[in-house]
Amino acid sequence: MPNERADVLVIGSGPAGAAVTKRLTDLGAKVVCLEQGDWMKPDQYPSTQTNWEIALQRGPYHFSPNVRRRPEDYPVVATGGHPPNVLMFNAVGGSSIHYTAHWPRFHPSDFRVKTLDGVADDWPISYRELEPYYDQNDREMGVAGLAGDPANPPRAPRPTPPLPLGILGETIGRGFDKLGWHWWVSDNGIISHPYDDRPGCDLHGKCMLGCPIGAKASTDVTYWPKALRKGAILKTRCRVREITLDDQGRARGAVYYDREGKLHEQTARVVVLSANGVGTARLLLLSKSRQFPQGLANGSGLVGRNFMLHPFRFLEGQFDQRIDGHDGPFGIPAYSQQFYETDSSRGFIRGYMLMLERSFGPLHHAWGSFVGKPIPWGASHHLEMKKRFPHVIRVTVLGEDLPVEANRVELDPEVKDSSGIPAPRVVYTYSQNSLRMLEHAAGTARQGLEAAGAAEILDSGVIQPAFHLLGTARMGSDPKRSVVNVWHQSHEVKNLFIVDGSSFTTSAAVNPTSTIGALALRCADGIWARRQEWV
Amino acid sequence: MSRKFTRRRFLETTLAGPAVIGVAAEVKEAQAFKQPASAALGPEGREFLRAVMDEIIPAKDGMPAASAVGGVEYLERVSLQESQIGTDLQQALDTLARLSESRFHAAFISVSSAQRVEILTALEAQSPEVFANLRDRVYESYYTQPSIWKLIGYDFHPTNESGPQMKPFDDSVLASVRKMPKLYREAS
Repeated sequence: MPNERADVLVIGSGPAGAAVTKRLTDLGAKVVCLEQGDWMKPDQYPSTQTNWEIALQRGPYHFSPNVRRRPEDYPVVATGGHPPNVLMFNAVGGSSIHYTAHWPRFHPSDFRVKTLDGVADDWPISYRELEPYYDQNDREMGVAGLAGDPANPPRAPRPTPPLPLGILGETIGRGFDKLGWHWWVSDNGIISHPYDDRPGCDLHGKCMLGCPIGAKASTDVTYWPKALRKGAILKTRCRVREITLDDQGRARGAVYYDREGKLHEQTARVVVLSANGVGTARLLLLSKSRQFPQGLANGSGLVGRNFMLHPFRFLEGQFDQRIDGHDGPFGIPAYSQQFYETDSSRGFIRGYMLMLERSFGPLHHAWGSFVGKPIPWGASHHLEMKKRFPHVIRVTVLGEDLPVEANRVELDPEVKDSSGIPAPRVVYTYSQNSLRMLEHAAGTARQGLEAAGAAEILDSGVIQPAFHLLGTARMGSDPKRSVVNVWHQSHEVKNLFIVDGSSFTTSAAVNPTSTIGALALRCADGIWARRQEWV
Repeated sequence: MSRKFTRRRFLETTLAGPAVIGVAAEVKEAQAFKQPASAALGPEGREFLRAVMDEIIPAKDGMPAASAVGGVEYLERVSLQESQIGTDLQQALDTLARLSESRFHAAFISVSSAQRVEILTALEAQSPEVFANLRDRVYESYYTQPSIWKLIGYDFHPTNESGPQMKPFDDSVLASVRKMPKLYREAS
């Protein structure tokens, strides 16, 4: 396919890249997207096979690229006080292929952390400005849930009704009711009823290994089919090496390797980078030039800095009665935001969410489940297994991670991917605030499980950081303290836009995907509004 | 180099193991594990593995032992498919053979069940990672078997068939929460 100059080049086809592409294509732009992965084959997802749980520990569907090692993956080196286990997926749909699809929104206060709590920085936008894009993204992706949660601003009716809570959700809900604590049925990016030519969830509960029926809102089944019908061009197995510049210092396009390893350049009037909080920073740092010796758009020195991962901790309560937590969609049945907003008497700033969660199957429990405590071997094995499976309710703590400049993504001087491109190296240490928050949350999670009737509770303790990749090309008004402006436009390269988890000024204490999609739609509108500036 | 685990590579890998073994019995066991026979394990190697896995998951409390549901054959198969598993398994068996000889001057398959447990406990304490690999693979061989699922009450529901029946969401469960005041902070 010839590389004709596009109006907009999008790098990455995940929740941000797909939303930007679809929106701009709808508006009339000629958009080309480069994706280093391939289309997934849903009929080959492990969830159709009896040994499906093996994929949680090894093989080509594992969440970590370092374990998965598909040809399209790149290695991630991890170091620091708490070296993270960086999880992502490289395919059409990006990490939405394996995300839980939990779909919460930021709170209004999350955009004003400096003003309200005196920490980090305010976002240059407000909840109210983003709200219509949240709604638009919800409609595009398809969401199940229920409006009316007192812990969140009122929102539009959800596209489909809530998914079943199951014994698990109702049991833990009763416990939280006893304590007088908030809880609510979750919004999930998993449709409960047929919607937008996709079938409703059939409650299999193996969603994190890919949804073969398309009920989970991964962007390969939501945005992409519609964007392609409208004329967007998606080029798969194209690994971008660097973003190129013209002699005016504007982005010219990107140089990439195709699946045969041949080098090409895709040019465009506007370049949008949506390669996730690690991949985006890596590409900017790789794109060094005479004009940008520290990496593209990195005059502030903040590209790769302020890397945030939500602090997590897992507690599992064992109940005498069957819980059947493996049944039902893996997305989160319910959550509590009782401890979400700042209360300085707790000994930390900002807050956390308690996610009331399901579990995988018997093998994952035997291996130790999320708490990392394997079922004992030997004489007691069967009795211990019967106590734990299927009798577990998991409460997962998801806390806000505050930005710390020393936590960062940089280029590893030695490790390279299969194309010879330097791998990212992630340096991360939990802040004392995060550790205090996790300790407090472990206490409340335990309280909640006890109130629900748990006979025994297992605690993961402080775990290796993982999951959401945020903050490495942060949004802000001050070019000295941020990489992109309020419209995700680089402060330094006016036709370069960056939108994905890397754009987050702060992390909030919610799963980020719905916010990433909303930001991407808003970014697309911003690009379109400035189309007279394209050259 | 391809990571595909050919029979030749399996033999090369397993032959690299006994360099550290200095005791006849454990060498015998380790070599038995390496016998090509009709597959990767010879009869004695299979017996050794069977003895190990049946201490990790014994027949008890109405449940079968690990080997009774095809555990040996499972591990043999995955060892052939994935070289690292074969290597890890070999390392565990080599170490168990050595521990058995040093503690009881006898092969693992010749000692009592209590002594086998003691040997496995020693491996767990001395080489937790080696033991964890072994334990996890034995668990895997067991809990991927539909015959075990029936006994523990697990319905698999593959995603190409219909899912479980669940009670639809009942709005009344949120009655208490709905009475709560607004919990979020406004911010412009």
